[in-house]
Amino acid sequence: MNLELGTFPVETLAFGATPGWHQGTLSIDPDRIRSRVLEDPRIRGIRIDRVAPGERTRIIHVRDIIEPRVKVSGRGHVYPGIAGHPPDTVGDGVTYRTAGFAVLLCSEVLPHIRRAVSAATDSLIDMAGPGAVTVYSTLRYLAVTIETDPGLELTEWNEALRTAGHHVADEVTPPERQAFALTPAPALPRVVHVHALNASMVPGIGTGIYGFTPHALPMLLHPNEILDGAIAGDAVVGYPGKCTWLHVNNPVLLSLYPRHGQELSWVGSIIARTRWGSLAEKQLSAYQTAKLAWMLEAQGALVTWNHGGNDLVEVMLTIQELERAGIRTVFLTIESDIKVVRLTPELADTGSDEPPLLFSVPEADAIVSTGTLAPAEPLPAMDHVVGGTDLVFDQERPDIRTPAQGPLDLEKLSGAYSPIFGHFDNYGLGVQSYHEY
Amino acid sequence: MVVVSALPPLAMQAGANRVVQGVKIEHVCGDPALSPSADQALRRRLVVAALRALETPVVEPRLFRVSDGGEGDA
Repeated sequence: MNLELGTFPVETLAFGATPGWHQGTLSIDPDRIRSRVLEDPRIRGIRIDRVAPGERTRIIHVRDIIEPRVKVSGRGHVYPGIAGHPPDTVGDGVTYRTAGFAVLLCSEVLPHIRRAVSAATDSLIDMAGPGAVTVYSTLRYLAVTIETDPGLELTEWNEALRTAGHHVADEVTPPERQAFALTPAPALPRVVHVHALNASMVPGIGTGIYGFTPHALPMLLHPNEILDGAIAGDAVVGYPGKCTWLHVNNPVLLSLYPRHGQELSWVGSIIARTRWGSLAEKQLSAYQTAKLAWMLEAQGALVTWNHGGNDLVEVMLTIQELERAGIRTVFLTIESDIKVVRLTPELADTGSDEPPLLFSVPEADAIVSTGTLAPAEPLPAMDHVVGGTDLVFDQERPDIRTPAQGPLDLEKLSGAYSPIFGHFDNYGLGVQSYHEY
Repeated sequence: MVVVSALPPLAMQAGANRVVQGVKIEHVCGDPALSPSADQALRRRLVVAALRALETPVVEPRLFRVSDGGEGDA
């Protein structure tokens, strides 16, 4: 499986009747995008904004972030299995991508969906100031704010929003080329990436593999499939910063690839779904994941995850089982202290009272922390708000609305979890990541 | 004290000393997939196991299973 990625860096976003990319300027025709999205009768309205890093803008009601990619040659369609794309196996041929640019989809959660999905919380992205600590504050966006039919049921709402987002991304047509192939490297240590991905307990939504979202036993993906969008987020679960952009820009893939054939032989990524409901299921998933790694003759494993809470049980059981199979295992994780706690200088020295990890096993003895993220001060007022006007911090009380443009003391407003999109930084992309440790 | 938990390893690591293995995170003390009478029997066995655990002296976190008839195992 050979994939060439052609990258088109976007430094300026322009509106014009002739779409295309020329020397760093990406031109987009907003009228074309508007009419394409409004073809769907489930969509009632659309607003299009341009957002750039460093400007005093706060983006709210983030539903997904999608990096436009297009297959120039090779089988299938990027982001397969969703938004009407066929489920053909991807990862071969040539794919073009934009860099530093993404389509950002905004839409306020409908009241009945807030009640049905506790993880459909409100989130925000500050493009400047103390809240601009995640990678999502560094991208340039075509922000599309969608108003849907208010009566849509959960899965239909998700499908309508996600299809709109991918249709917009498909409209963006972007000569550096980078080749990706797992050429056999027989003399080097064999390393597997165990890619633990949360599956939603609510049927029909959540992160999907070729659009397949239910809990399932582990499967093996070639990293090129992931680069072509085989893993994609939904438009519902914003917490804890899940989006489609993240999966194709996962720093784990982009760091393992240059080492393949030099320091190690990367045998692929085992997708292990997490948040099983029973201990027996958690054990079965962990044991089968380790068995696959063993059958791949892995000598080392890098375990990552993308959620929190009880998902850590099967992740830790997986680490334990890998070590028992003689596979030396490293775990890359954020520390679980994701509550909004102001990061005072004293707290930075002593830590908070929260245990760093909810659950652990003695075999997990090589852990790389991506840190804990908390802004040092309340977020200041912003000049512009994109995506809506108000935020809801208590899912149970959607009637209590906070104007998004003013200053936000997150510690007071949101006691439970940080509403900063991507704050739960499992892969270490934020400015307070392990790079500073 | 006794805890009926879907995830006994977590409860025991947190220091709970009597832990009864529950069914599932979504339904710890019953199983909606069973018929009403089988579900009722399961729930009864869970409560009996929890009461037996409560009567059992322990010196460290210990797991009790419904299948053990509440007698418990470590």
